[in-house]
Amino acid sequence: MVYSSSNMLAYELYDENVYRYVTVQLFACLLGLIGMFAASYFPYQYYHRYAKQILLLSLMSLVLVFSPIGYSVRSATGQEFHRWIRIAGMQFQPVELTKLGLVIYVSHSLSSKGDKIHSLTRGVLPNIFILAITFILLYKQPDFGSAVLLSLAVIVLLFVGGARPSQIILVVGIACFFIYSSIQGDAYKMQRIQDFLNSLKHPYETNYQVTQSLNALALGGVFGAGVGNSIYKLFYLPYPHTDFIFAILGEELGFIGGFGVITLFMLLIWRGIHIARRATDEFACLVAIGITAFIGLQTIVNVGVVTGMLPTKGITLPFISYGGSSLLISMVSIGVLLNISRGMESQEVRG
Amino acid sequence: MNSNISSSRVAIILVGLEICLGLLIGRLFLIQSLHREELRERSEHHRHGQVRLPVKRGKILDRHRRIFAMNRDLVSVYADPKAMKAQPAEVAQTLAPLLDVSEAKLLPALEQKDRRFVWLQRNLDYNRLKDIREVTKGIHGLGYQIHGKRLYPKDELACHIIGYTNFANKGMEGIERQYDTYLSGGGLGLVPDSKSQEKLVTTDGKRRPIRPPQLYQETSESGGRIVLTFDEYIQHVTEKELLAGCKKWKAKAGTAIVMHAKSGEILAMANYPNYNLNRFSTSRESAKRNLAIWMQYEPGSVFKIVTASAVLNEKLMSPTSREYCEMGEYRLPNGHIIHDVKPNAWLTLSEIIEKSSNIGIIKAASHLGRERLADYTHRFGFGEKTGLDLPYEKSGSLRGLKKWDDYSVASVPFGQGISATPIQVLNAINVIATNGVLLQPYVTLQIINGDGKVLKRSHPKPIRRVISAETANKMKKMLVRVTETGGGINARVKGYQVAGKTGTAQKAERKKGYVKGKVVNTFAGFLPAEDPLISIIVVVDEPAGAPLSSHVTAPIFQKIADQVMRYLSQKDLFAQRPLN
Repeated sequence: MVYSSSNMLAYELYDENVYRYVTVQLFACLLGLIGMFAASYFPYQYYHRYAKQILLLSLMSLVLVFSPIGYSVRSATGQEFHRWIRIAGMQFQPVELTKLGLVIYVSHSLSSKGDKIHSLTRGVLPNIFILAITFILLYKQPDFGSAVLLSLAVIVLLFVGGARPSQIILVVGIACFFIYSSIQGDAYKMQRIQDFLNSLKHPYETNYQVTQSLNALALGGVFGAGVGNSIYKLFYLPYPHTDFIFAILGEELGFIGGFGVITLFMLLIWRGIHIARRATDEFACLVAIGITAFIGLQTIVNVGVVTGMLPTKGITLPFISYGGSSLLISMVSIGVLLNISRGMESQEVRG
Repeated sequence: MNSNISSSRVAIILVGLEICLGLLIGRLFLIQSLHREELRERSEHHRHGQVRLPVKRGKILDRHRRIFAMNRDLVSVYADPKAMKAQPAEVAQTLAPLLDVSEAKLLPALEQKDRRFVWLQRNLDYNRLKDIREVTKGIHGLGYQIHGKRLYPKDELACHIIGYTNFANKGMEGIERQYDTYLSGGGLGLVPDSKSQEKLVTTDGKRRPIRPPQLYQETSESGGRIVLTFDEYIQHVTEKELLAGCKKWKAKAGTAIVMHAKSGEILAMANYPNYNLNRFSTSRESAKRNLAIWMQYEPGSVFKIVTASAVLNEKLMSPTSREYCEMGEYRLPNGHIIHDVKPNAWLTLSEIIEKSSNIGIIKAASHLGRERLADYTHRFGFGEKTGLDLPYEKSGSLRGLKKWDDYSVASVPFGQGISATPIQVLNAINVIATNGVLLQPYVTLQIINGDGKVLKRSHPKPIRRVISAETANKMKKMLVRVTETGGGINARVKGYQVAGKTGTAQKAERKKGYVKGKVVNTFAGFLPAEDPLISIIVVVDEPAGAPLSSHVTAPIFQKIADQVMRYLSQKDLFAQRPLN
């Protein structure tokens, strides 16, 4: 899918090397498989023990994007995006690591505090504090979409972790404040929100990207145009291989393909929650829920954007979009899930 | 399960996520199935664009539809050595026989691994396309390109009329430039149903057709064909005789035009030196000039026709009115002295033209005055472009007339102090042939679109009546005497009465004034005098030894006129016109 959606883009961007994106993606996939395999055998309890260090590492990597090894991309509008770091010729997007790091830390923090979770100052506030730091770092990049996603995931963890409804409302309120303050004064984001509000009134009239995306889906119809036959990937859709890959998937594979992919995600979520429920300890349970929620939320946001139900954000579709860091971390996350599930299996056997 | 984790809340998360995804499936179903047609219709115009297809450039034909400019589809093969995985030596071995290049030459090109684009062979014949396609398909890093290249089957013949296109197939000279838009398929929308060049194709987001390479082969449409007025044979004769004359007199340059006297159609337009259209890039720039419309020179005594016509038309003199010619030397009030070639006493106006007396014509012009002379000069078409449909036409200069000093008014009547192009002089003498009407000369008979439909047809275009038919008739008789007994005797054509006038003008150079030993010879005339069919002008620039026109251009005129009249007596060129 990455190849099909990106080959013409790569052709024009990278000296006619149509395999450019695929080569990178295959390499990431290989790394991801290794990572997943390793993570599935790596006892998750270590994450519990080193949660603070993991968090620190991921926050540091977020800071590193502004360091000399940071790698920035300038958009067509002249805005600079500091989203990557580059080590030994390889680029990495630290925010992906942060996602996992934050899930581990919040799970750790919630599970080790026991009853103190109900206390505002000791249970909820430290997590909000961490979230705020992350938020500020992401705001600097800027990566608004990931920030929203992160806060959603933390809210889910707090919710499941037993925080009081009043506390959750507080967190939601604070998150909303952050979101609002970062949108304010940014005409670009305001426009996107505005476009979205308009599209609520007129379901199929929205901004350029989403219009093209809807057109692509409509062209695909029920059965799709066939693999490789997308027209909208040919410079109609701005990010055919990342944010809008689902539109191309829908165009080439039709409703059947889209239905299949979403169903797989539904299965994945179901299995993820299943693992969480059967987890042997609270930390494992929360990590499993966090990972599952992350993948689920990311899918919902991405497909929501592509189908014009949510305002446009730069969120990729897990496992499917082009992006090495995302794929690698997603697969490692699955590895962690597998490890948790392995732990409970062995317990079941023992029990 | 640990006490802190609420099982029901986990269930809420699970159900919440699954419901959201379920809703998305529903939304997807709406878009891709229920509202699909609505959305598709809306986006239809996005994906399809009117795209100008590459057009095969139209042909240029003479009046008998003989091809003077055509297209050849050629194939060029290139390589991307960096992307090539196969061994350069093997590739070179496969390609060498196909491309007509030795392996030794191909190998270095293919071994430039740092290059992304190298031409291996350009401009191969189109019928090799199939083989080339087979081979390039099998080897990664090879490609080919098809493009139309202009071919001029007649090489030099009519080169200044036809012109050529540059490397990008854009017309640079002559008809190729003048009608570039028509030839390249543009401007054919003149006729509403002729939108053949535009085709609705699926385009990508940058509005480029998605499958461009196939389009060229798919187009059967071609650009407009241009049918010209000239006749290959007449052009050939004119070029041959002009060349021979210019060589004989070691002239710097020369030009000759043959025109259909009744319509203004150009039957031949020749210049010396000329060039081969297929090798335009290596030709000298000076050879590419269409002197017939570009050269501005002092016409000399040919211009006496204008002065004499004016005097007659204003009824100031009759052909038999006399002027005293001062025995060949006349001092003007400002001190300038005017000479005649031979001393004369009293001459009639007719004799002044016949013997080309400068003194006589000055005296005749003195009855006119500046205003009226200037008026007639303008009305005969001097000082402005004839409007012939060829690029780079010059308008000549009437500065001498405007300045109004005694010397220039004195010299203008015999064609000095003003400049004109050969086509202007020819067109002016043609006024006598048409019984007093100035015509607009033209070189294009028809423009035909790709489907064979005539888009534009040229018709004779009278510009204005210059003199009365009666005056024209009197002038005609005087001009016949020039070739019967006067200076144009060498221009006589067997079997026809020729009306014509010689002109030998000393060349003026910047700051030096008139230079001895450098002249421009002109002979302009038409025949048969009683019912003129063709008008011809011959101009020779700087013949060696500064001879008189009667010796240089009159014989060239005669040779061209003789052959053209014999040709025309066998072939009725102008009767076929209404049929088309």
